[in-house]
Amino acid sequence: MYMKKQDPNELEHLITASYLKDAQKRELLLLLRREGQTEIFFQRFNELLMEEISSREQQFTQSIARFEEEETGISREIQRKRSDLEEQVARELATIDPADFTKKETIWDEYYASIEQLEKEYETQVKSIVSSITKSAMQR
Amino acid sequence: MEGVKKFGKELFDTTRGRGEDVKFRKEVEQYCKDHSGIKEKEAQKILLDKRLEDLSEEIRLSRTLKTDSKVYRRFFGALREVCGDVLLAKIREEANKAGGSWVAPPLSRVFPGHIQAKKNELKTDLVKKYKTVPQEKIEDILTASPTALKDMIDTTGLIGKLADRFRGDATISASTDLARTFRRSPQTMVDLGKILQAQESLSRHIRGLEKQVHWERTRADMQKWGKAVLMGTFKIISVSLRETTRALLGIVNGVFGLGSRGGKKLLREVDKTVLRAFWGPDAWKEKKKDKDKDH
Repeated sequence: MYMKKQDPNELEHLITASYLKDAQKRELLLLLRREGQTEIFFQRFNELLMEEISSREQQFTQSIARFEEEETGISREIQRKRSDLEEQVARELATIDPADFTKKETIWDEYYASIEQLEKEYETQVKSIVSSITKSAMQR
Repeated sequence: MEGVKKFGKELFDTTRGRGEDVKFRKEVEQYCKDHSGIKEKEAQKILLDKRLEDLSEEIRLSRTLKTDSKVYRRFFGALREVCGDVLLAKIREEANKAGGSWVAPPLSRVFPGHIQAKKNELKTDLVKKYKTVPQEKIEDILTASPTALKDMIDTTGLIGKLADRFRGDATISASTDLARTFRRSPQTMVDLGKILQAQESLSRHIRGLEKQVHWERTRADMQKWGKAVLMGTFKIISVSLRETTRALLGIVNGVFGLGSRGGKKLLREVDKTVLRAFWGPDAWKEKKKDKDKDH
C-alpha cells in the first residue's frame, strides 16, 4: 500500500487553527499522538468536522430565531412603555386649559423626547443582543 | 429710484421667506388703486379679514389645517405685514402670558369618528411622504397616538373659533388702523397670538409623528443589520470549516491515495464532508441523485 506521511506539525496546526471546539481539538491531538496518521485518526477528524458543520448550521438557524424572538420582545416592551406615555400625556392634558399652549408645549416636548428615548433604547438593546449572539457563536 | 428701492425690498423679503408678505403688500396697493378713496390701512383690514375668512373656511370645510397650508401662510404673511416684527413679538408674548381675563372659545366635542378621520388624513399624507415605510407601520403609529390626534383636532378647532371671534370683534370692525387697535387691545393680541401658537403646536405634532415614521425605517434597517451581522459571523465560521475539510481531503488523498480499500472508503467520507461544507446538507444527496441518473 502506498502511504506518504504528512508532516505531523502541519496536521497539528490544521487541528488547532480549525473551527472545531476546544474539546474536539484536544481529542484529535491526543488521538494523533496515540494512533499516528491512521485511518482511525482521519476518520475521527472527518467525523468531528461533519458534526461541527451540522452543529454550526443548526446554531445559525437558532441564532436567527433567537434574534427575531428577542427583537420582538424588545419591541413589545417598547410598545408597552409607549402606551404608558400615551396614558400619562392624556392625564396631564386633562388637567390644563386646552388653549394654554405654553404648558402644552412642555408636555408635548417631553412626550416626543421620551418617545425618541425609547427608540434609542430599542437600538441599544438590539445592538446588545446581536453582540451577545455573535460572541457566543464565535466561541469554540 | 423709488421703484428700484421697492423692488430691492421685495426681493429681499422674498428671499428671506416672506413672499406672502410681499404679495399682501402688492394686493393692498392694488386694492387701493381699484377702490378710490380707500386708504392703505383700511385695505389692509379688509384683506386681512379675507385671509382670516379663508382660514376659518378651510378649517370648517376640511376640519384640518396642514402645516404647509397655503391659507395659513397667506394669513401669517398678511399679519406680519400689518404688525411688523416688533408688534408680532408682542402678540406672541401676550399669548404666552395670557390668563385671568382671557377666555378661550369653547371647543367642540371630539368623537371617535373625528379621530378616525384625522387618522385617515394623516395616514394619506404620511404614506405619500414616506413611500418606503409600510402603510401598516404608519397606521400603527397613528393608532398608538390618539391623544396627539385629539389634540390636533382641538387645536385646529380653536384656530377656527379664534379666527371667527376676531372677525366678529366690534373693535376690529371699527378700526381704521389695525396695528394701533391691536396695541390697545390685549385680548385681541392674545387671540391672534393663540392662533400662531396653535399652528406651531400642530407643526410640533406633525414633526413628532414624522420622526416616528422615519424611525420605522431605522427599525427595519436595524432588523436587517442584526441578521446581516449574524450571517456574516457564521459565514466566517463556515468558510474556515470549509478550508479545514478541503485541507483534510488533500492530506487523506496524499496519505491514502491509490491505497487500501479502507483508504478509499475514508476518501469518500471526507469528500462527503467537503461537499456538505461547501454546498449544504442536501449536496451529497443531490450528487448521489445525479450519479444514479448517469448510471
